[in-house]
Amino acid sequence: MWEFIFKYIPPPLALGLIVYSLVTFLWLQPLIERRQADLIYIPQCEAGDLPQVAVPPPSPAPQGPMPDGSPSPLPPVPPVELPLGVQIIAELKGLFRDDTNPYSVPPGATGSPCGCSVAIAFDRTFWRSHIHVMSLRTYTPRAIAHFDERVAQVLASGICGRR
Amino acid sequence: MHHRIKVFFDNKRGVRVTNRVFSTRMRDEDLNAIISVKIGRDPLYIMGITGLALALFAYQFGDLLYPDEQLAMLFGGAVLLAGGYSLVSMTVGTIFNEKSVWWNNYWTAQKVRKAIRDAKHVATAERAILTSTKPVVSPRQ
Repeated sequence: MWEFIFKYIPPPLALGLIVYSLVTFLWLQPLIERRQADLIYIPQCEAGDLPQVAVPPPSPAPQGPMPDGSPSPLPPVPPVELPLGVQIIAELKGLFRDDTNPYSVPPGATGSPCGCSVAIAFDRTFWRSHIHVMSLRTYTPRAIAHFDERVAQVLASGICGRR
Repeated sequence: MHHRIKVFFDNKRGVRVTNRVFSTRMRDEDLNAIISVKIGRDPLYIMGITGLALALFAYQFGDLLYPDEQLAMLFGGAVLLAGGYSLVSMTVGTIFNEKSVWWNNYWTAQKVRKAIRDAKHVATAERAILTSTKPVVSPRQ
């Protein structure tokens, strides 16, 4: 596989692309995310001019697994430790999504419903947002072009509280 | 038979090309073992992509950056591009046995490459004289 790739892409070119993607992941995208949150989406949310979104109906009360809907008579299942590989991958993901990244949406902002909604909306468009920045605004999917809808959806779902 | 050492390049810091060896600070390469001389442009790819992308980023996302930040990114991209253009490696050796023996700027590396070429011409001519069975005839006669 690598022979095939490096037959057509010179290794220094591939290394340059890797360096550029690292720079984007660690610096440029968090910077753009923070600026968009600070300058565009949090003020827009606080001014209340988010677009209308459809809200799902409230889910019915949870039903148990037994045929008549009663809870299971079996004792609860003990917690299972995740496999080591899964834990390592989760920690690697946390490296990129961590709140300690000084450029991402500031942790204080998530105290308000609007800041929390914007932060969660950015988390839900993680890869699209990164590829959007990496492609220098060439790749602009719907979730990025109409990001205010995403903020409105998170706000309407109520996980950040109501305004 | 005594031959004088001819120096084709010397930067006074250990990098030297004579009609026998190409010396860098930590290694000597016999000119007979040097079949190919290549100037490697790997930094041009690596730093060029990064610098170009940084400059284009500053242009494309200008509405979200402060002006001084934008200028600093443009400047950094230009510095990376210029650095990637200037920094080269000298790769010498025989086929399948080439090593990057020296890193320097593009212009000095071109001088060293030319010096190695001239030195190999002289060394080849000397060897031809040494091994020839015919008597060497001076052009004056």
